[in-house]
Amino acid sequence: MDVYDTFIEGVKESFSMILNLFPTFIAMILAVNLFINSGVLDYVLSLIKPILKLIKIPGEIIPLALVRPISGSASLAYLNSIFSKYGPDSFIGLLGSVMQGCTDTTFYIISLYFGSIGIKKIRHSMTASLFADLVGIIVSIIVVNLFWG
Amino acid sequence: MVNIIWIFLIVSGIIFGLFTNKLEIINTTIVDSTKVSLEMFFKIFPVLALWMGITKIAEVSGLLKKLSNKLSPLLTKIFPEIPSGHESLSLIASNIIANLFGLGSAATPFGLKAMNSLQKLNKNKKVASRSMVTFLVINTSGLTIIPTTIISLRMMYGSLEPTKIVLACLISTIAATIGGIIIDRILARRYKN
Repeated sequence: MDVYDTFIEGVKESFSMILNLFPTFIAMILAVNLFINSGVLDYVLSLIKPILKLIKIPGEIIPLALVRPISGSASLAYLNSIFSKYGPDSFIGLLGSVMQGCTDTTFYIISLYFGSIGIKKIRHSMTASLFADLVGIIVSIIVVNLFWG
Repeated sequence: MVNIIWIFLIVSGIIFGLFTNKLEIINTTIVDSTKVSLEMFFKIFPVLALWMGITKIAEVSGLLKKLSNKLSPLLTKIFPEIPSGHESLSLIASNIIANLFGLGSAATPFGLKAMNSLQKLNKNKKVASRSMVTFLVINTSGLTIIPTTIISLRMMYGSLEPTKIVLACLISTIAATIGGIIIDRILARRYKN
């Protein structure tokens, strides 16, 4: 086996792949940034906050949980601010860590993977993925409460 | 679905911005988005290119086949529509293994290749196949043993026990993955009928 040639061939394959992905990047980043920067997200959050306070979920964790499926970088930014405000070993810091770590950026992966092969109808991908995210968030709240609550 | 979400994000953003007098922010966001996309392109491309080279070696040397043989009893249960021995199984196995060990940058090329390979089996090229949806759900639920990004971020902020969250993460992510696979099964059946 010619290891060198194989490596080169593999790298060459990445060109067509990345060119297929670029339009997806632009479309996705544009939409997500418009949604976040225009203040829609903050508005929605302010509406939900009182409800979640009733079931004893710290207010600061909600933006993280809601943004997690939409934007990895935005949710990391929330986690950053939680860490710098309360510290990574605080209860909310631990909860944020587990929430961030237990799922991936659903919206990004769906547009990336389906975009690369030109799938238009994604069937129940979004519903099933968001359901998985919801399970992850609920279980992380339970587990963190059991471990360190 | 992506279409609807995309339109929703953009239209709600613009309308909300108009009503709250944030026209300028909307303008700069639109222009900046293309810049951010290009930055992301430059950030991902070199890593992807490198890993595509390495994964090609793993593929040609037969390493992938070996890996997937170990996982295949489980994978054929999760992906009943993929014919046994098909290349997509070894790519899916490699993607899952890379994710398990927190190697996100290695997992992505395997994942993209797996999708490509699943597309070859797909009858209608515009519509996602059942296996594709299942594979997507496993990926979005972020199944991992070592959440590397979080651990390094915790270290950065001076955590006394950066890896303290590993077990809690593992339990939550396994729950998310199983939940996702179950709902995928149910919805796939409903879609068929």
